[in-house]
Amino acid sequence: MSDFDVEHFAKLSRLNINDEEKVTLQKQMNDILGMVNELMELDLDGVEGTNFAVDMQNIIRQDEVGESVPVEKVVATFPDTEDNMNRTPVILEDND
Amino acid sequence: MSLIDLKLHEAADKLAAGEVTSRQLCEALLARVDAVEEKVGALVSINNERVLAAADASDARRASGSSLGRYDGLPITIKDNIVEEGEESKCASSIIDGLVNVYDSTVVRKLKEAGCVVFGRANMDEFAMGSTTETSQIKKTCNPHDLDCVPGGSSGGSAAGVASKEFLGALGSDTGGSIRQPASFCGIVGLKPTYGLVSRFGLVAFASSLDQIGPMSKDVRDSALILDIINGEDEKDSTALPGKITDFEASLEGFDIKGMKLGVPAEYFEVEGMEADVKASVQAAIAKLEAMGAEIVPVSLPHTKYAIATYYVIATAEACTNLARFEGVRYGNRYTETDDILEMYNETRSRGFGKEVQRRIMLGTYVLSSYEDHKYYHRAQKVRTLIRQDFEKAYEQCDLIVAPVAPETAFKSGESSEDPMKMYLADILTTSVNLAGTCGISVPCGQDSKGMPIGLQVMGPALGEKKLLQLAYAYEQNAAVELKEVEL
Repeated sequence: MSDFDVEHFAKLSRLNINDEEKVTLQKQMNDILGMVNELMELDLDGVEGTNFAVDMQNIIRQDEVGESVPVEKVVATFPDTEDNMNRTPVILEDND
Repeated sequence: MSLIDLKLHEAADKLAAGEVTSRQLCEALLARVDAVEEKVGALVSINNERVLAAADASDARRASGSSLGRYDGLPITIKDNIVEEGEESKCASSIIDGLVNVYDSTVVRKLKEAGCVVFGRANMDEFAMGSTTETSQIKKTCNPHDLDCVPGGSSGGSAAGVASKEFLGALGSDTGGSIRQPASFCGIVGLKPTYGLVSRFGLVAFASSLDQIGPMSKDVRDSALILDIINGEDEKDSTALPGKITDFEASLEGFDIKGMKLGVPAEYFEVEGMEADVKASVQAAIAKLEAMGAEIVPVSLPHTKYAIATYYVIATAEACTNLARFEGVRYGNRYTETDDILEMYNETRSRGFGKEVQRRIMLGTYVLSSYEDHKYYHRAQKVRTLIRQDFEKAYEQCDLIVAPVAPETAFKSGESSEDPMKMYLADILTTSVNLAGTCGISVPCGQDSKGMPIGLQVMGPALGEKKLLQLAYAYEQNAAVELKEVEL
């Protein structure tokens, strides 16, 4: 089993990990993977996977207009707002 | 007898008889919170004014003859991952600190429609990830039976608050044992319902195919009472099962245990770390059930040893997906000392999520990453099928299965914080029920040599709650060991 690539998966997970944390995490994640690797010993040919333990059914209703949460109440939950909109750092740079 | 000693069903009877008001109940409980909360730490928050206003509204309804029924005025506490309009649901995390919810979860709506008073928000492991409530970023919760010990988790606040008599009853959520294990550690009753019996709308998602809300209470009757209120179909949750059941409590009486077949899985008594006191106590409980007339049948659940591995692959895969929405854009906290959006995501998530949540997000990302996909996630889904089939085969031979809840009793705080594997293994006897989507209950059956409570786990097939509650009730009425009184 190869070492868990802490740096790579931290990046994919959008997490910053410092060097000290990296050492601890390396050991912890390797321990956890050791446990998870027990799944490798089973012969699973022909076994169907389970997504949900119950049968899923679509829930259908008439397309009727109902009450909605007022927009201003929702906007108030955003971390930062401007003119009733969600304000974030720049996502697309203007290159003109 | 003080009002805080009442069970929910006793309080309901007294409210109906006019012997007590909801305000009196709530004031007595608020006084209890004032007296012991500093030691126990069961609550993330409680809004006294809101509690008393709801209690007064209930009392006014009763006085004017427009009571909403048997449950009107009963105070019930909710876990901090259950959404209530006008209140924060922090999930014991600092990442969504300050987010005031704009809607009620379905369970809260049902509680309110029944007239119940939402009595504060209970502490938990951050995002329900943990088995000790130590991953909470809000506060420490202690086990009322020994304040140096953990209450279990993740619904540790719900369990500790019921045991310390700060609440009459509570809702928890159970993804891999998070209701049953803290119930066992704190000497109370906790029921994980069949997947889909209770709507998850407004439960902040951890692992969507496993999460389920359920009751935590002083006795079995109270769990049946709470389940009567909160179960039922929901147009806002496609995983909620059709129909509504209203007679869990009413079905408890008149049940005859004679001839009931109880399966005993040897695998559950042989797990690593099984304490002798736990094993002896559960075996004694099974002997009592046999003496009461049940037939004991040996059954086998051969894939039990793979349950933890399967659970951690599936739960973390679902968790890393569910928690992707916490990035500082839509809710709660944003760490904004940067103009770079990626840096904002990373800073927000690194500073907002605690270490255990970060570990699980990384593990989930790993098992879902393209080149590892088949190796872990699909294998785990297949093993989940085998675990489900183990139960299906077992229930061909028996009505219910009886076993321990956890291999050990509540341990000292701090013992597992540097060793996540120790904490993970605390769930070894409970995760299978979540993977199979079936139901299970923890009922106190004794205590170890240090006086810490031990739970008997009764497991049932999908939608087997009635039988499960009947058996647990019969056991509690006829055979349960009296636990040492909690002294705080």
